[in-house]
Amino acid sequence: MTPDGLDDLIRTNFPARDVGPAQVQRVMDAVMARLDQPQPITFWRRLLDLLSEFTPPPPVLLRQSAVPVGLALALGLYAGQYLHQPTQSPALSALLPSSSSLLLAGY
Amino acid sequence: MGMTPSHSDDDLLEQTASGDRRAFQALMDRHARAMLALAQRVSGNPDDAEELVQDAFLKVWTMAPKWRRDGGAQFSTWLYRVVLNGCLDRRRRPAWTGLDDMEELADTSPGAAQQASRRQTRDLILAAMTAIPERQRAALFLHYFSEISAPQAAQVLEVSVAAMEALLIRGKRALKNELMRRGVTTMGDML
Repeated sequence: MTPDGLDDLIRTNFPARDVGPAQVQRVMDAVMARLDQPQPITFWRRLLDLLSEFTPPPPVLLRQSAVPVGLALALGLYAGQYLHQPTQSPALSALLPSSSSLLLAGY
Repeated sequence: MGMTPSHSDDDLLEQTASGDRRAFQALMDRHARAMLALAQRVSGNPDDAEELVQDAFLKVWTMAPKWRRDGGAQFSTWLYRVVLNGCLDRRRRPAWTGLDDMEELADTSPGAAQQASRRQTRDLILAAMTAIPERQRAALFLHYFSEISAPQAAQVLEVSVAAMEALLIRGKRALKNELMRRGVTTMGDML
């Protein structure tokens, strides 16, 4: 199939359809009617609204310190990764008792 | 205030944002026909097309206050993108046999067989189109089914004109291969 053949195939099977003024008007009327309809409230939205009514607002001090505390926590976690000691190798573990134990060292 | 053709889309959007329904209607009046033409050809169903275009315009109403005149985007290209994405989303849903199909199957009139065959052919082409990569598919839909120029189509897909052309070439090649894989080798197979 040539590229032209493909074009013909699609244009033959999907002819341009005339969109009449009546159809345009119908769509516009439907949109205007939907503007006045209340937006559907989902279950989760309703649950969130209900919970927010019962949840007291956080104290001012907590709200003001939330960002610096969060930043300090993130920095602490980041820096903490580099403080973690790597696991000692088995060879080193075997060597350590022989050189550090008083009995094994002969004293 | 009267809505004249001299009002730009951005002017009308600004007025829509302040709740001016006449401006919103003028905006719809300007773009609804082209959007319906695109949606109807992609979805193949006038009812689906009307619903898709309604949803797109409701989105316009809600996003109008956030529209930035100096944002660089053209309203019409944004609207094309919304309608096209709506059509593609709908096509991704599982196949559904609508009432029209059921009536077609039951119809025994002389032209019914030809109509059913035409519908099967359309379904085969759309299935092949669905199988190709999404960006190429979107480029093909705009190329074949919309009334916009190549540079405008490139704006809709947020690519350069050269990239749009490359997408079209790759898309056509992929579609041809996909159709051949499904047993279509010449136009005669489909007519």
